Amino acid sequence: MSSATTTAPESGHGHHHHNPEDRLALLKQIWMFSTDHKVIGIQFLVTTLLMLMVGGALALGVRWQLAFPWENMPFFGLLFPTEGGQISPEAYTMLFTMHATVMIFLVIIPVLAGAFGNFLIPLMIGADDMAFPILNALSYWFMWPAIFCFGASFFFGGGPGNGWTSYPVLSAVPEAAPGSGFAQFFWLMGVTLVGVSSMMGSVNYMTTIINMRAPGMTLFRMPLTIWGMFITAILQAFALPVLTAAGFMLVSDRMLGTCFFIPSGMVINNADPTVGGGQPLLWQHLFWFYSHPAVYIMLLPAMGMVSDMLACCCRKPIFGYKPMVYSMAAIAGLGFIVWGHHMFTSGMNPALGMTFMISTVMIALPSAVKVFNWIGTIWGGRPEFNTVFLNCVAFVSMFIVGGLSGIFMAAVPVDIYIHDTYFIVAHFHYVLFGATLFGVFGAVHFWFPKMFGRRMDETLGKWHFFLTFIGFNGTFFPMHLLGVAGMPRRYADPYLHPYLENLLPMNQFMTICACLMGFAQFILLFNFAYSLFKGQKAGMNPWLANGLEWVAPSPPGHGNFAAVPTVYRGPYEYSAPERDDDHWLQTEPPKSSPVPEPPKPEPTPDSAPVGEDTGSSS
Amino acid sequence: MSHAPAKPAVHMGLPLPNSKLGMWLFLGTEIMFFTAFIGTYIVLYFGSPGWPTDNNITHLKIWAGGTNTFVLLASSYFVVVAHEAMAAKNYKKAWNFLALTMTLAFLFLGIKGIEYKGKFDHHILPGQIPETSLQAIRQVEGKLEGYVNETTDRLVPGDDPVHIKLLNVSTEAGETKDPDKKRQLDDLGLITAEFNRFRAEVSANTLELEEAQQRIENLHHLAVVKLKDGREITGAYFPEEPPKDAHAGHGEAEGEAKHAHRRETGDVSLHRPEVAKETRLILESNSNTAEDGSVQVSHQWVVLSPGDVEEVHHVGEGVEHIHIQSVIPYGNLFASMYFLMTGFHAIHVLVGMTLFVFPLLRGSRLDASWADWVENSGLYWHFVDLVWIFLFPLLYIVPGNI
Amino acid sequence: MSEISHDTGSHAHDDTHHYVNYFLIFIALCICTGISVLFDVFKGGIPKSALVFGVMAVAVAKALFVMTYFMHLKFEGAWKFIILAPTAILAVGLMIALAPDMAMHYYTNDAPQVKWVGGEHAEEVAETEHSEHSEHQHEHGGH
Repeated sequence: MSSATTTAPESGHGHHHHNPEDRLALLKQIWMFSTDHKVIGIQFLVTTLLMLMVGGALALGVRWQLAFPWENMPFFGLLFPTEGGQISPEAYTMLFTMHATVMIFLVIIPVLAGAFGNFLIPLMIGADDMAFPILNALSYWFMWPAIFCFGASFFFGGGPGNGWTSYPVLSAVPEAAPGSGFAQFFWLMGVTLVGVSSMMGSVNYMTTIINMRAPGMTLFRMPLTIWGMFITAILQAFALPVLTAAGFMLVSDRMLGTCFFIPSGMVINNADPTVGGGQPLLWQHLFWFYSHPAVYIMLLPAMGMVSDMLACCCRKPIFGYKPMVYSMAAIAGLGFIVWGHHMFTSGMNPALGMTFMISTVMIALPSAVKVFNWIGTIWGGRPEFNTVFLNCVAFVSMFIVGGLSGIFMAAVPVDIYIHDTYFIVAHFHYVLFGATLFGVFGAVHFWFPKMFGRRMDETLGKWHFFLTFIGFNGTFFPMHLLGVAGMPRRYADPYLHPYLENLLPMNQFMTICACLMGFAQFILLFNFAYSLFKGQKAGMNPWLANGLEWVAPSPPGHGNFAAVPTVYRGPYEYSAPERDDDHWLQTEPPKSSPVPEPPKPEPTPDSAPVGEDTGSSS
Repeated sequence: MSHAPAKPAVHMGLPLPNSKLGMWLFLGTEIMFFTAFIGTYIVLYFGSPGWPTDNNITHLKIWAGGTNTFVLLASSYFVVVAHEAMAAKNYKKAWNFLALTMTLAFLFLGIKGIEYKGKFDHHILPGQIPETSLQAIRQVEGKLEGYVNETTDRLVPGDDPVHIKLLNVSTEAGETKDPDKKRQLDDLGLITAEFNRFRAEVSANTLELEEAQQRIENLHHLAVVKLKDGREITGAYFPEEPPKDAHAGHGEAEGEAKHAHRRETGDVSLHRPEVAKETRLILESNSNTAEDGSVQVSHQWVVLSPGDVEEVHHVGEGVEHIHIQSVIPYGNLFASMYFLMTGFHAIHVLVGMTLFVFPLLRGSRLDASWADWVENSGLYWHFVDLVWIFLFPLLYIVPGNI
Repeated sequence: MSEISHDTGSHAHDDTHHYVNYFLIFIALCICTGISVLFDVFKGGIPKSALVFGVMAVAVAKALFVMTYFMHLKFEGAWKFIILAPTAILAVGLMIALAPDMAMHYYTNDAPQVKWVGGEHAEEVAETEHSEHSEHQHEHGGH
C-alpha cells in the first residue's frame, strides 16, 4: 500500500494480477466470508451461473415430457422413479414449478442485482465499497439457506406442485394436492429467505448510490447501469415486503390454521369443509403486487447494462440519455400499477380489468422509447461485431419480440383467449431469457476483464452466442403458434386432447432446439473457466470505455481506487468531435478549465488511454 | 486501514449518515410490510359478511389496548429523551432513559401476554373457532375421539392400530391384574360407549347444539355410583341441584347463547326434574337392542338422597377439559387478523428491544460513538409505536362501527 | 452491524439543536389516546361514522406528532418527501386497488355452509345459518 500516494492510478493493489500466485486471490476469497463488494458480486455470479444450469436442466425435463410424453425420462426418471423412468404428472408439475422458481429467484434476480449490482455499483460511482459491507455479505449468505430450502422442497412429497405463483387454495390447504405438503412449506421459506436477501441488498444499493458517489458524479452523470440498479432497488424495496407479508400469511394458513386465503365451506379431498372466510384472490393481488414489479426488477438492470455496452461498442454517445432515465423511471412507476393484468381471467372485478388494461398498454410507451434509443445508438455507429455487441443486439431484438407479444395480452379480450396458453410462455421467455439473459451474457463478456484481469475467449463466445440464439428462437418462437393453437400451459400431457395431437411434432422440434441451447451453456461455463486461467490478459481499459470502473486496476484491489476519482462528465462521451481520441474518461479533467482538484487521478490528460498504459506497465 | 482511500472531499449525496439514510429506507419497506397486513385486514373486514364485535365474545380488552398505547407512547418519549441526552453528551442520563424504554417494552409485552392468555384460555385461536353449531359439535366429537384413541393407545399394550385396540379394551380390562389399570380401562370403556352413542347421533344429524352441550356436560359428570343397598348405577351424577341454566353456565357457552336456537325437545335427558336441594340425581342410560337390531337408548332420572350414596367413582374427570366451544360466526377470520397483526407487531417490539440491548450493555462506557446507533434504533422504535397507534383503533374500536 | 455507527463523523452532519419540548408532545399524545378511549366509552351517543372518523383522525394526529417531533421529520430536508410520499401513495394505492375485488364483491363469493355427513352427501344449510347471522350483516351496513 506504500504506492497509494503516487500520482498514477495504478496502486499497491495493481500488482495483484501480475503475480501468478496472487492472480486468483480474488477467486479464493469466494469461499470466504468476505465483505468486499467485488468478491460478493463474483460469489453471486458463480452461484447464479451454476443455478442457471440447474434451472435449465429442469426445463429440459419439462421439454422431454412434452416431446416424448410418458417415455422414460433420462436423469430425472432416476431421481424420481415412480414407474421405471417415467415421471408422474405431479413430478412434471414439480419440474416446471421448480424451473420457474430457480430461474426467477436464484438466477435472474440475483444475477442482475446481486452479481452485477454488487460488482458494478461502487466501481461505477467511484466508491470504495458498499455503504453497509456486512449487510452486503449477509445478503449473499442468505441465498444459501434459500437454496437449501428450495432444494429440500424437491424431496418432500414430490416437490411443490403449485406453480411458482403458488395460488391458494391449492397451496394453502396441505391436503389439496400431492405436491403441496411439506414441500410447499419449504418452498415458501425459500421465497421468504430470498426476499430477506433482496431486501438487504436493495436498501444497501439505494444508500450507496444516493450517498457514496464520487465528487462530480451528479445524478445525471451516472451510467444507465447505475440508474437501472437504483430503480430496481426502489422497486424491490417497496414491492417485496408485500410478498413477504403475503408469504407469512400463506405459511400461517398452512401451519397455524389461519384463513386469510381459505374461503369457508370448501370441501377438498373429502376432508371436512374448510372453516374460514378468507379470499383466495387476495393472494393473487398481493403476489402480483410484488411479482409484476419483479418482472422489471429482472429487466431494468439489464437495460442499463446493455445501454452502457451498446454505447461503448458503437463508439457513440447513448442516444437520448435523459429520456432513457425517465423512461426507466416511468417503467418502474407504471410497473407498480399493472399487476392486475395477470388476473384478467381470475374473476376480478371488471372495473379493475379495464384499469389494469389501460395502465398495461401505457407501459409500452417508455419501453418503446428505450428501444428506439438503443436503435438510435446503434444507428451510424461503428460497431465491432464482437460477442458483447452481438449479445446486446440480441437483447434489443428479442425484447422487441417479447414486448410486442405483451401488448396482445394487455388487452383483456385477447388475453381471455390466450391466457395460460403457450403464448404467455413464449412472451415471458422472450423477455426474461431473450432480453435479460442475453444482456447478462453480454455483461459477463464485457466486465469479465474487470473482474479477473483477463478477457473471455472471443471464438468460444461467438459459438455460445450463435448456438444460444438459434436454440432460443427455435425453442420459444413456435410457442407463439402453440398458444394460438390453444395449447394450455402446465399440462403434463396436452395430447390427451385430440385438438392438440397434431402439435406433437412441433414440440419435438422445440425440444431439440432446447437441448441445443442447453448444450451451448456448457460452452459459456467452459469459456468462463478457461479464460479465468488462459484468457488474454486485459489491461485497465480493454474496451476503451469511459466509465469509472475502467480507471481502477483489473481486477481492482481492496478499496477499488488508488485515490478518490473526480468526475467531470457523463459516461457516454464517445467520439467527441473536439477530440482525436474516440473515448473520454469520466475522470479526465477538461483541457480548457483544469480544476485544481487535489485527488486528481491522471496527470496527463492528452495521452493515450491512461488506464491502458498504466494498467499494463507495472 | 491504510489501503482505504481517503474520504471524498466533496460529499455528493444527502447530508445524512449512511446509517440514518439506510434506516429511513428500511422504514419505508417496513411501511409496505404493514400495509400488506393492514390492507388485508381492511379488505377482508369489508369483504366478510360479518365480524364478531362483541368484546365479551372476542375477549378484546380495550383497557389493555389503551394501556399499551400509553406504554408505547411513553417509551417513545423516553427514547427521544435518551437521544437528546446522547447529543448533549450526558451518557448517564441516556442510559437511564434507554433502560426505562426497555422496561416499558417489557411491560408492553406483558400486557400483550395477558391479552393473549385470555384468547388462549377461551380458544379464540385461528382455525379452532366453530362458526356454526354443526362445526362446534363436530369439533367436540373430534376432541373426544382424540381422547379415546389416545387413552386406548396408552392403556392397551401392543403395536396394533388404535381401532383394533379399541376392540380389546374390555378383554384387557378382564385380564389385567393391576386394579388401577383395570379401573382406568373400565372408565375408558364407559366413555367410549358414551362417545359412540354421541357420534352415532352426530352422524345421523339428529343432535342440536343445546342437546350436544347437555350431552357433553353429562359426560363430564359420568360416574359409577355405589349405593348403600349394594346397587351400582352408572350415569351422569349431579350431587346437587344444578342451576337452572346449567348448560349455559359455562364460560364457553356465554356468547353462543345469543345465536343458538332454544328448542324444546321431548328428550328426557335435557331437563332435570325439579327436586329439592341436597338431592343426588343420576341420569341412567340403558341401551336395549330391539328385535330389528337397532339400538334404542332410554334415559331415566334416579333421585337419591345423600344418605343413599356410599361411594362415587367419577369417570368423566378425564374428559372434563373437553367443552363445546362457543360458536363465533366469522371468528376465525377475526382471530387470524388479530394474531397476525399483533403478532408481527410484537416481533418488531422484540427486534427493537434487541437493538436497545447493545447500548445498554455498554453501561457506563456508553459514549459518542453510539449516538447514531441510539438515534437509528430510536427511529425504529418510533415506527413500532406508529404501527400500534394505528392498530389500536383499527382492532379495538372501529370494528362494528362501520 | 458495527459499520452503521462507524461512518458517523465522515461528513458534516448538521447537529444544530432544535429545541422541542418533548414532554409537551408526550402529554398531547396521551390526551389523544384518552380521546380514542373516550370515543369507545361513549360510542352509544355518537353516530357510528363520526366515531370511526374521529378515532382515525385522532390516530393520524398521533402519528403526525410522532413523526414530526419524535422522528425529527420537521427538521429534515426535502428528502423526507422523496422517501415518504411515494411510500404513502403506494400504501394507500394498494388498499384502494384491493377494495373493488375483496371488499365490494362484484361476484358473490359466499360459499354456502355445507353440512358434510359421513362423506356420503352434502346438504346445504346455508339458509338457516345465514338467517341466524343476519343481524351481524346489518351491523356492517350490508353489502
